[in-house]
Amino acid sequence: MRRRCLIKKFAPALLLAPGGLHAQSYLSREQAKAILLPGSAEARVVSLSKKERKQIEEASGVDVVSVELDAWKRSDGSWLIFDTVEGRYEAIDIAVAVSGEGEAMGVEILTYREIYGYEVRSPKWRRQFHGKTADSKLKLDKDISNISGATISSQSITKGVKRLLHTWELVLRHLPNSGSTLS
Amino acid sequence: MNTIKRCQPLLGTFVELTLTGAVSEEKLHHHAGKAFEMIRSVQRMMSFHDTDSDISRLNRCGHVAALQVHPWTYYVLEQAVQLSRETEGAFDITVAPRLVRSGLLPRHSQVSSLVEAGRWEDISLHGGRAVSFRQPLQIDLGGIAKGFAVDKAVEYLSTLGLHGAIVNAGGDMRVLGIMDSRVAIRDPRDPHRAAVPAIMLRPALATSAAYFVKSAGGLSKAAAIVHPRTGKPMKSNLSVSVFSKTCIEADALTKAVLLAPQHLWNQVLAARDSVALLLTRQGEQVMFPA
Repeated sequence: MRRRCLIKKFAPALLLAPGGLHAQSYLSREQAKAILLPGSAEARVVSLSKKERKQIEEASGVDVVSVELDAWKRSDGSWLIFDTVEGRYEAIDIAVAVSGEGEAMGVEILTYREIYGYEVRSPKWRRQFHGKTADSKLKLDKDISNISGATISSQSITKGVKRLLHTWELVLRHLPNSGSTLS
Repeated sequence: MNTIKRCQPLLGTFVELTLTGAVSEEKLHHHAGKAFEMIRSVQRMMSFHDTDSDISRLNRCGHVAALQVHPWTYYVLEQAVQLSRETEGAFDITVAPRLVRSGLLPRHSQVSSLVEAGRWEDISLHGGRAVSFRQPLQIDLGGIAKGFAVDKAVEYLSTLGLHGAIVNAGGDMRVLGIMDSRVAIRDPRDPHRAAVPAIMLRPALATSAAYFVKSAGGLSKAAAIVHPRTGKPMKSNLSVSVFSKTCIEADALTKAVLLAPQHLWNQVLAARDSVALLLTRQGEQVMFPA
């Protein structure tokens, strides 16, 4: 139902874009977990307080957009964090594995959506994609998935990872275990 | 038959792998992880940004003494110098200082910025993988190493008996085996929106264009392609796509065509069995050799 609404909403935008907006799904969260943080781990939802967000922004120099982070924590102190970063023309869901020493162990792109700035900046627009998996991907560009062109910078990811490493340093590493462990 | 797609931020862009094979998805993910590792190795050796890379070592003290570099770095330098010779210096990896000045590359405190007079002829390639500079230089392999990294990943993947694979590093791509031969090339008139369909005429394809470059403060007018003779960024919204057998050739040839005088194009392209497709601002599509 919700999906149908989405398609309706996007139809005019698709007509305006002759080449099609590029959107691609790579990994579901479950697949990313199997690759980046295998073994048993505890699912965590971490809410960042206003104070914490400010601290993270000051330390990393990057704006904090998501108030809540979905993550997995392993007993050795390593984390897998899911987040969305925004470039000027794209919104990208990423999974970042952080070791017990606070180092980035791996970064995977889960979904990449090319889009216009104003859409990306609308929280309502972004919310539509939360919790999407590979199965529920939006197929905006069905026919041709290989695109060549001037290189798109991945600087937004670099910044996002930096912000998450500071999030680990300031918040995640201090969180106690909550008990329930799932693999 | 299973197919997986993976994407990691590497080489300053998004590197996408598509693997198809008659093995489990788990196995394909394992192979993809190894292929990403190959690309990461190239990045470590040839990055201008990483102060421990072969390139940064050379930029710091290549003019003082000959330094031994990794065989891969040596190979890429050889290819770069060869192309500089053939394009009469239009393709030149020593333009880094101008990119640093315009803020497109980071300024390392260790290196002097007074090295803008250097040219590709100042790079000396010796036996035993040793490299030296005849005067202080700052080289940057940004115009060629991405293609090489794609080739290395494809070389690794070609040993695995896969049905097919595609490695696409932000538009520099190479196809292995029987894969979809259609491709879309971004339209220089509207790079963030429209794309022109094309067919893969060779296994590898790269595209370069003198587009506007994104910066934190919005669109900046500095373009990443600098004309070696004038030292000025290229401004026209022209894009050049090159189809070649290898991605290092395709990657470097796009810059060669964008920068070299037109009478050299056919010769340089023919020497590498390559085809260039130019898309102009007016929407024209021109092929070379004609």
